[in-house]
Amino acid sequence: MTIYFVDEDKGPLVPYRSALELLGFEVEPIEFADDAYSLLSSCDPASITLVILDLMLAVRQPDDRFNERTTVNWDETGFCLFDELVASRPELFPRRIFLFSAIYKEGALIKAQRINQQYRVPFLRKRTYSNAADFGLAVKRRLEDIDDKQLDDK
Amino acid sequence: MLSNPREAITLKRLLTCPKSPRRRDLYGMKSENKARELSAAVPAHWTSVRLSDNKAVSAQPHNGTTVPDVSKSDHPVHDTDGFTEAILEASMERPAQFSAGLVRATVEHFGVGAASLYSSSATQSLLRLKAQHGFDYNNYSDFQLSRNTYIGAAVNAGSCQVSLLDPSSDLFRDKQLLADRPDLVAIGVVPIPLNRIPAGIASRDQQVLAMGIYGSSLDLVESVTRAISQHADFVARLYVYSLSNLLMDLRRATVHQVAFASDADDLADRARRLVSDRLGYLDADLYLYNADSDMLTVAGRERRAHAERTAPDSVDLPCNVNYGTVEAFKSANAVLQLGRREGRFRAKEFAPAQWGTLRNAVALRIVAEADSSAEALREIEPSARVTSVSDSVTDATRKIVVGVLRVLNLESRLDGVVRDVDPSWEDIVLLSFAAEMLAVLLGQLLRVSAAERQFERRLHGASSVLPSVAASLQILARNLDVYRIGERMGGMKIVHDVEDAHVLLEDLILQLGTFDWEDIEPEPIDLRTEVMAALPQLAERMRRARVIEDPVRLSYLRDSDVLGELLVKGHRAAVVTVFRNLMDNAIKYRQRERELEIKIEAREDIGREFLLVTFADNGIGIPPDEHQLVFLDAYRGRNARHLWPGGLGRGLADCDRIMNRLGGRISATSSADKSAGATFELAFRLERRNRVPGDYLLRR
Repeated sequence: MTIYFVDEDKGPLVPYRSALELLGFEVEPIEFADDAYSLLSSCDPASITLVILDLMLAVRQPDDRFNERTTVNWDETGFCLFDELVASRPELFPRRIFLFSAIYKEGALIKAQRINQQYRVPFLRKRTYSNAADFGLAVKRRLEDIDDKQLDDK
Repeated sequence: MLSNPREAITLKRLLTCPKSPRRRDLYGMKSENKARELSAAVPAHWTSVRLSDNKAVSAQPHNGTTVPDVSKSDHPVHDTDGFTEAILEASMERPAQFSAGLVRATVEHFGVGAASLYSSSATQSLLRLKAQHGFDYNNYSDFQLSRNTYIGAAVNAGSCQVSLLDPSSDLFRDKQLLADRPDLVAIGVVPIPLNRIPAGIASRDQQVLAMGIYGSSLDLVESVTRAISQHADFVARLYVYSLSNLLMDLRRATVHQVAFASDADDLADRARRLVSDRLGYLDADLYLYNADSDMLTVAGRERRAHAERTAPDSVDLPCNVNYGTVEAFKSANAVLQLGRREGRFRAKEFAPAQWGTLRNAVALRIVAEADSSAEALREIEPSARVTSVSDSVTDATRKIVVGVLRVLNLESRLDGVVRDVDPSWEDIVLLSFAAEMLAVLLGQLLRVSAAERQFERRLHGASSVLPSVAASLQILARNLDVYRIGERMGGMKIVHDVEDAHVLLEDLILQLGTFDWEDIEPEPIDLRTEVMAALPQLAERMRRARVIEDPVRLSYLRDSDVLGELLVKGHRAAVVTVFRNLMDNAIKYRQRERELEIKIEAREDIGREFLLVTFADNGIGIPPDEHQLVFLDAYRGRNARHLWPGGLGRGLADCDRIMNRLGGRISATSSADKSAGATFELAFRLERRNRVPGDYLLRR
């Protein structure tokens, strides 16, 4: 059971990762959006506890899925990955996605908020989460919500 | 009918006075027969006895029949533990009934209010639990809970009473008790995880009692207040049991004392938002928990003043060193003596007044290790420029980190030697609070930085680093208890995290420092000793800041004659920033399939006006048609964006600006080999030679 942290800038993630590890989660960082898609669209669904997704993501090698056009000049790679994951595994995503980003451009913010409202996917801005412990608890709560939802579904 | 109030009172005392030897006898009983014998001593027809002002004032039978008024009883109750029980139910024939009766009587006595049976004593809570489990004294030891693991909390919800216990406890297996027993009208003991107090469980005019431990307190507050907020006339009592043994009670009315720790600050702020914004009231009294006597007392002003009068060194103590736990007081005094003996005690200036006792003690200790930090703190003024503040904060934080590492006997790490650490409890607390101090420094830096207009345009970049640094420090501060270190992360992981935070901080400082380069005055510098010698460390810092696992292979002309004999027009910090930006680019735009190599070479130009330094990496390179464009402000190379979409395109622009300011220039060049990466040429204007030209030429 792993929490995947998709973000290209791993340095600032250290404390957030520690916060999750302190709560007992195993955390796996993924640097590139294309790597994330390859892994998350094909791995054992039971191994995916949660995917924490930045919205400005790096791409290792541009291709048909992630390119300048589909990602709006690389500004919205995270959104692109979000859509791809939802399309490929609707039974897992977006329920197991958690948006965590420092995006600041108005268009991207509106888009993130729309996802938040439409899919009820948590969207947290990094600037507001200087308290890593609270971030960890927010993730934990998200997982509890997911578990509760699963129980309801059953 | 109430024939013998003395016996009732005696029994009551047994249950409420932790110092009572007879109480110990009671709890020490291992025989159920002994328990039965005790309960048999209480007349079965007694039901409840109300106590007031340490006297029994009334009694009420369980079946509703009238009982004599005992308000004139001459049998005072001398409670010594500060938790006077207000009611006693004695209508039982068996111990289990007796215990259950206690709980029920409490609820009944207070109507929809509080249950005063809830104290900080774990054993009393255990008594209630055992009432549900058959009151088996023989299994008493199974319920032993230490103070650190016990989370006493309760929610009185109408006819339901809920105890919140350590989520890791086996007692949680019974958390569905209430749900499974709808017939439990008056009594229910339901352990619930702290963060899952069900919204709506409480109803109007009821009271929530909750006690959390440090670290989980905010979560507790949010959960409780979420439940509370549904009822506008609800009273919230939130107790926070912190590392420093401070218990805080947030109640209605105004805030008296909430700022005893950063945790308390957060708690107060959030509680204020969650409760006050909706309910319009909030009160916070500070409670002090004395571990020696296991007593909870209110730290009002009188007590504080008394402590100041009686403190042996009160004249030199910061105001709030004088109250708190005995351990903290002793610790504060010990630190005070240390600081005084060494003549560098700066507690008053250093420790923010709102910090708690142990916090101050820690602050003093750290000041003793790095006392000049206090000066640095004082220098931070709202009107200060970013550069000067940055220097002060960098200096202060570095010294604090060094001081903390010294406290932990980890100074050898600074030389690259890693060894296991087995920090003592005191060390852990010291490190924890030192981290919070760093967080305070960062907050000040951010405030000062934000005051400068130039900061705004880079706020995005800095804002992604500052929260991370602060978060690192908070994680350190909030999780450095022995359990978590031992069980989950290991001490060195914590230390690594704070060191990484320090790296991020220094990098941030370096970035912030670039705001003021227009004001710098070039001066002669020796590139070899003042810049080149620092490059390996800089490369390592950049590698750690970006969490690159592979080493950065750096080669440069360490002992170059050219570098050694020429002084260039420069400014050390500015030139270091240039190299920092080039290294950061090299790391961000490296080719992942191979190790990053950086080569730095130097030569004198033909006209001997400049010292030419080439900086070459083996990254993705820069297309030739962008060699000039990349130095434009906010320009992003077209093959770089997908690798680092969050970049601002200002690193090279800064380099260009700095080099121009120093009378030099920077340019990008290409190699025929596409795998050769990017190469930059830095031209530093020569200032003068260390030796005469002839000598230099002869040696060549």
